[in-house]
Amino acid sequence: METQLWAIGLAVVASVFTAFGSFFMKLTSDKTKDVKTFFLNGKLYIGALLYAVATIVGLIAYLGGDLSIIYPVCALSYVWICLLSVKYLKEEMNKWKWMGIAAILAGVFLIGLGI
Amino acid sequence: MKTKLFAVFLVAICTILTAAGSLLFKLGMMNFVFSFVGLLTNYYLISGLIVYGVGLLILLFALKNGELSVLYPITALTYIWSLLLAAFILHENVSYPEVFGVVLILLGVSAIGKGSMMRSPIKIKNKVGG
Repeated sequence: METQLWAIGLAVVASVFTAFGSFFMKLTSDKTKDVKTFFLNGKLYIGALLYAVATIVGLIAYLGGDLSIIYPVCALSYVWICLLSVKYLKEEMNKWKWMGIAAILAGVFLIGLGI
Repeated sequence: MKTKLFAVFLVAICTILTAAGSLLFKLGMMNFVFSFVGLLTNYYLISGLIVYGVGLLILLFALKNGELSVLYPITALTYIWSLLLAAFILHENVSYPEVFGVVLILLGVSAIGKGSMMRSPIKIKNKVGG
């Protein structure tokens, strides 16, 4: 089956949801002192919901594309997580992160070209 | 925090599980029936979820015992496994640009991991300057 463009688009969307899900998980773990604070933290459930949406969107993407093309697209989540951390967690951008983002974007682009 | 060796080992295991999980998901969608019974009996999807879940738990535990700059690049191994699984089990056409793309992703994730380690020189200067 030839991979469809819409499937790649959905995979990109899934990577965004994955990134936000990880972001809320990080917020959760920052506030976690014990089991109780872990499960009482609302952000945990937001993160889990975002992961669930990411999974469902990703599954639909698999309907329209090869594993070898769709799966690497979710590496874009590394890019979004990096940008989110800089914007909201006061982490700093540096040349390594920029190069990393460029490499991942180039890699995903190459993979997308394969269709 | 020094990265403990077993954390590296755990992350490596996690990458295999995550790649296997994605393979199971793909198989599950290739046999997808959109109905209540169809979903309940889609053992590929169900086992994929379990495998993914276990992998995520292992990853969370490993991250507590290691630095991101070391563990991050290892997580990118899942893309290599998934390429291999796609080529040999699903018999997909894996072309050279795709392989090169995965290599780029690996390098990119490693770079981001290393970048997450760096301390800003400005902060250090302020501390020293007083």
